[in-house]
Amino acid sequence: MVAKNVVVKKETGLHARPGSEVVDLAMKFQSDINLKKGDKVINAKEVLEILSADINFNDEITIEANGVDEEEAVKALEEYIGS
Amino acid sequence: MKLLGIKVGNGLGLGKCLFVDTQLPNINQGSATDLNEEITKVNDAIDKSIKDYEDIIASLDDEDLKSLTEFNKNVLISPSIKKEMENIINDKKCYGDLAIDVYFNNKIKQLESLDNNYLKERAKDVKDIRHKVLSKYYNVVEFNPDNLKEDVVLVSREMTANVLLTDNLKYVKGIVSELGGKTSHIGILTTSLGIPSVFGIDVKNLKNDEFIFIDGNKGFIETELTENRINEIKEKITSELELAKELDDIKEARTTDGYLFEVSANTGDLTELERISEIPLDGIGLFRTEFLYLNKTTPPTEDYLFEVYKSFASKLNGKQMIIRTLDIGGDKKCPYIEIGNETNPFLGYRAIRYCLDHKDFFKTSLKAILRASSFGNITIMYPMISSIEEIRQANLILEEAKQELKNDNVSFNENIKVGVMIEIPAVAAMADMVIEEVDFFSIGTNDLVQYSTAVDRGNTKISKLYAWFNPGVIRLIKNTIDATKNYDNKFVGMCGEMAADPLGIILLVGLGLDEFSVNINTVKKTKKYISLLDKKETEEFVKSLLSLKTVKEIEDRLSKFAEEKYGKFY
Repeated sequence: MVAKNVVVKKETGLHARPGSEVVDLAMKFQSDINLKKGDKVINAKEVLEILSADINFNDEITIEANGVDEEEAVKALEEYIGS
Repeated sequence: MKLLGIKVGNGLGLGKCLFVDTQLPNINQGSATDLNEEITKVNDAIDKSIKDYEDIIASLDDEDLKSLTEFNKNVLISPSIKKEMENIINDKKCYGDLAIDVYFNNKIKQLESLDNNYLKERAKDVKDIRHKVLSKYYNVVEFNPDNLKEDVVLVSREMTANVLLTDNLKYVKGIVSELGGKTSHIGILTTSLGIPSVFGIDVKNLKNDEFIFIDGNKGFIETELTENRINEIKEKITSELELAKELDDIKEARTTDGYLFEVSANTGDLTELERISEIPLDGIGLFRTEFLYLNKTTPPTEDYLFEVYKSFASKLNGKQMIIRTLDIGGDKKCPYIEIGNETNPFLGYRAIRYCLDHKDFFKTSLKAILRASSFGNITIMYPMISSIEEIRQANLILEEAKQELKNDNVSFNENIKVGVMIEIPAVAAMADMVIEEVDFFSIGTNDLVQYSTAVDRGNTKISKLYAWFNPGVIRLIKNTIDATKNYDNKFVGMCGEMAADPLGIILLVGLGLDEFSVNINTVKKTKKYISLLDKKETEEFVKSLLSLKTVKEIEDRLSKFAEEKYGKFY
């Protein structure tokens, strides 16, 4: 498993377009991918879970991936969410 | 018959009434015998819906529509959706439609339970998705605009975005919905498509196939149209279209005698960020910060506010951006701001009155503005000022904010300009004294008229008394404008609806207003109107209005002048 902390740099948080785009990105990988905010664990392939988690600009979250392409998955999501 | 509703904008339209609500059968509550068949049917319905959304995405050019449709698709490609519905069917031994209904209802409830208006709006999208999947399950044909053959105005009790997800909308001349607001998803969508829309109309009195005239700018629809009236409307729409065409290449608001006025935009809505650079505006005359506070459960952080201001300022290339500090209270409430119950909220604890009592909260908001002032031409404006003392008190807190930033070595514009909203009659009356304390004024006509005529314009029994052209109101505006004229480096703007009104523009050009701040969609039109006027001539004309005693006389004279000057654009 690979895990990495990232500070959300999307101005609108992971709502609206960014929330949906995280799913688009996550779907490209076979690994199971979770986002952790506090003690909440959010499946990065479930758009409604991401929305309900209310992840905002400058929140610190953890990206965790488990599977054959875990390294690439975490890297791709970190790049998207953190910039 | 004229029916008043909520104006969503986008101009005028005429077409036959067409109800688009698709009726679905009632959910089957009974027990199913072949559970596997139900599971297959549900999976099929999901796959067909995904396919539909994919087809729509492929056919769309509009980015907003695309992103909305992507969201809908992403809800359905969820790795767990089919498994969860299968579990419901196996547990309840039920038919597939009940499983679909239960699954989506849970999701909708979850989103609605969160204290966040944005997510409540998304709950409506999920209702649309439920509708789509159920339609596929029942094999019900949904409304399809591709089959239209004549101009229509689409009508629904609660218009859904599904209806509009197509590029083939040439016959759709208007949207009427009972539920939904300007900032609801469907409202944003119709604006991005440019379809005239009015919400808040009681639709049960409308009949399929009758002609409807819709005015999205003024917010009404008209029915029971005679042939004569239909012809009049057609002419009106044609001239509106001509105006729109001529507006395409307008750049500046220069009068025929060469005098340049500023026309800037009112915004504060993140969804308008991209449009800032597409419209020929001279700045942001009113940045409403309350949108950044309202849809939250906790106060926004200084960093967040700073980032938002910076991103808007960076789109402006040095043009001025007036940021109004929080205007909360009145009809705008926030969960973490304790206003208390008031019998008269519009005369109550709101805006600067609250902020001055909550110094740290206010200081945080000022620091965010100050920090952003390093990245653009940013100015600060205090709302709801009723006395000089409040300005001085606010400035003291501003000085503290500056000092704290200095101590932390954070850069900002030390000479940032500070102005006030003129929306309370008492300060308009003493504008000559107030201007000594500030760098600029912005006249908020919506409140100024309401407070000086003592009229709540939502109250239909008295709304006629709410008049910009009440001679008393004109005097307050004139007094405010005149007060700034003794200073070369001070200016006066207006950020109310009057600044975009064709007749209001004549009055304001004549009185010498410097800056018109209007809704982003009316920037070009406002510039066009100003450019059709001669400043000196208009000044003379307006002088002759100042002795008139009634609204009617003033309006009649203005109308006549407008017909002469604006010609076909009026």
